[in-house]
Amino acid sequence: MAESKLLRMLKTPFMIVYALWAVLFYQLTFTAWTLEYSLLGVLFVLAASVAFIYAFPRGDRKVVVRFTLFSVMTSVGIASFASEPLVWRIIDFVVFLVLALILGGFLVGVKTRRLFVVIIAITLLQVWVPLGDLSTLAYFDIRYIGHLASPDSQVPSLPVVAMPDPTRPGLQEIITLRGHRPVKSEAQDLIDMANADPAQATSILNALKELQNSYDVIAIRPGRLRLITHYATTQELSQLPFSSLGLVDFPFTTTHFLNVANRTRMYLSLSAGPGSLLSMLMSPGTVATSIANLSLQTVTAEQSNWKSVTGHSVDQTDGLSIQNGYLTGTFNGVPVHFRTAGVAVLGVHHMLPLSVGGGSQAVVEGNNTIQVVALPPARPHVIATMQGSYLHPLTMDVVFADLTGSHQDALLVNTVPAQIFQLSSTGSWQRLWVSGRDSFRFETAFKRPGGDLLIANSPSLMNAAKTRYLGGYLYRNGQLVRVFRVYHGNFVDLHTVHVSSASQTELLTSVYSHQEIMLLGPQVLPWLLLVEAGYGLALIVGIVRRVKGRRSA
Amino acid sequence: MKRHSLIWTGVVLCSALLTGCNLPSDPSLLTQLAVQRQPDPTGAQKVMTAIQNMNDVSTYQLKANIQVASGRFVRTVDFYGSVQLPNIVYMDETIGGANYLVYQNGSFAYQNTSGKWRPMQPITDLAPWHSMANLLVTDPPKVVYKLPDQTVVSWYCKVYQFQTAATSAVIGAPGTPAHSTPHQALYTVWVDAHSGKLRQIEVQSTVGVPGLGTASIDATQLYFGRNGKLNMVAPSDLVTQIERP
Repeated sequence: MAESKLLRMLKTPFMIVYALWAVLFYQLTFTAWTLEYSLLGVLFVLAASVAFIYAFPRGDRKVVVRFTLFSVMTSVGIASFASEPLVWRIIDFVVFLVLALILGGFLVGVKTRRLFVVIIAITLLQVWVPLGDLSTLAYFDIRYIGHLASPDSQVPSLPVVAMPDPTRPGLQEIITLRGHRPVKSEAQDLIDMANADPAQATSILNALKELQNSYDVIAIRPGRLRLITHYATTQELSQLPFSSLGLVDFPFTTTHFLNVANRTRMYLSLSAGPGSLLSMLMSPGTVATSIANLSLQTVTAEQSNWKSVTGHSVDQTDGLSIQNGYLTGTFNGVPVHFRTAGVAVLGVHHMLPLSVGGGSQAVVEGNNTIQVVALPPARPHVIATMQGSYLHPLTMDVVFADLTGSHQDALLVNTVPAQIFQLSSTGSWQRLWVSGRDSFRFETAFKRPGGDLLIANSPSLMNAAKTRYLGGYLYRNGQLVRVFRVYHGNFVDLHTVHVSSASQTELLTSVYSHQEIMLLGPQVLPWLLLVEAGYGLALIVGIVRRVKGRRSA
Repeated sequence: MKRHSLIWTGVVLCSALLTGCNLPSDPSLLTQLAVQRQPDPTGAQKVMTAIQNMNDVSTYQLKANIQVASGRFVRTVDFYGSVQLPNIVYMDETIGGANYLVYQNGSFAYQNTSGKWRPMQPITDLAPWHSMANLLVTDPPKVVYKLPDQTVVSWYCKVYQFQTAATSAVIGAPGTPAHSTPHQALYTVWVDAHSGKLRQIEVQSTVGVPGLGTASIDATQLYFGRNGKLNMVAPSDLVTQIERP
């Protein structure tokens, strides 16, 4: 071996970089191709692999292929026990490490010491970002992953919301729930509390009963080095409507909040027992009315509970609220009091084209209907109404976005299929776009000067499965033009936020069935491009070496 | 070198494919889903006949769900179980991913929540079609539509649809306060073409919830295994719990 000392020293770091590249490349491109293009994607993967293998001179091929497979398989192996309790994770990791090193030492043809370092590097990568979440690096940097340890399976995804941070004007903080770990003597404290405060006794005793299944309401904001969690204060929560945290499995479960030692706690109970739900079902003639009433009762109970715990009284959206059938509030300093069919305010937006004047309109939602109401200085009146049907109900599952940068907001409706509507100057709705796939959903929009980036969860192109993955689209010439794709299938409850920066738009999301939340920010390094460049580079270097080798031979 | 250039062309083509996939507007799903339905003047009578044909049913199995969509989420309660008329039922329920059980034999009625059986109010009528018959008599729909025939699971069905509000039936319905207003709902009824009996009922409706906007409701129930042999003895863990508390 005519290796210089320097080369030998560089060999281990190089192998680490190569292994990490292989893991990232596999997650960002191979997984992406197969998920998006199914069988065709598998063909891409085969083609790319064959080209890669072909590019290496015959002598190196064996080691390269074996080491690449070793890296990718190690990463998947480590990820497979990531969700276990800590003790088991450590035990499994040690067993895995020993097995991987013995097998690797036999099969890979690389020194065991080096394999050990590589396994440690891959493990550290996954400590930083779990393997399943690596796919977000295709477009985002991960600013925060919060594991919220839900105590029961009743909560498929934890609600997450952003609100103005009282300590940092112009920025937001994250409010969410975290599984409560009962501490010693807590039960006794609760008993004492209940006896000291007879008015609250019932709710405190109920909380006691549900101690194992309760949640703490927490707030997360950036600290000096990383995001820091604290218990949300009542003052913070009083700004939020009950619906931001209170709708876990609505209307079948009711959320209860209470203050225990200045901390807000939440637990769930069934709104109606299994027997009474069955009884409702067994009477199909009245089931619609029974479930409607159950929904109304649940909301009333949750609303009054939220009010008594946080002091939050009126849900205001952009200064407007709906009370007793009236749209009430002040807009531009002018009081508004207008009779409406709405029960909730969706927001104040520029719904009309700029040519009709740049005024703002309130958008309200009633029973299966959306109304656009003119606001001062115009005389309040209904400009347009959109009526849902029983087959295409209009829920509050809508997104507003300025599609082309014309300062007119379009209404993105998640009916099945999802649709985009815009108001014409005469007040009629124009349907701009309809999804060809029934599982396509709009989630939120990033403000962009030339037209907002629409964040959606959309199914893959060549696969009949309904599984959705995150995607960013721009509306151009009647089409949604893809800007990015992140093959992460579990993002629900997405919000456009400014948690760590006022200028950069961030994406806050809850991860379905994983009881975690993620904060995704714009990228510092374009990881997808880098790993693709790495592939290209390896191919070029390999081919150059082959050609050289052939010439010298 | 020719093979190399071939590979490179492949790579370039692949990357073009990866970036060039836009989503055009495709209204086919809208028109596909829009129901092609025709008014059927004898539709109400046909549904009524199908209900009357259920009179000789002594046992059946039920698969059902109630879905509520509000805000960004759709929440579902699933039901699966057996009924022996007039008053025995054993039902498995899934609410928010958690499992529950209901067992009733006459006035002996228990529900299982978080692993423990507790007594409950017995369910009075276990034949859902009685409630449908009631509805058709007291609040007859103005029009009944005939939809194209459909195959549900493996059963060929005639499909009828009508819209009405259960006004008089509401009083005394479970979970209803006295002042409650009835909700208009869209009822779809699948009648088995072979046996002339009810196969499936779907009820769709919406309600405006203060602060939450529209909640859309969809309850579907499918009847099968009619007059099959069922063993409806009390579940062993319930018996154990009662005998050894």
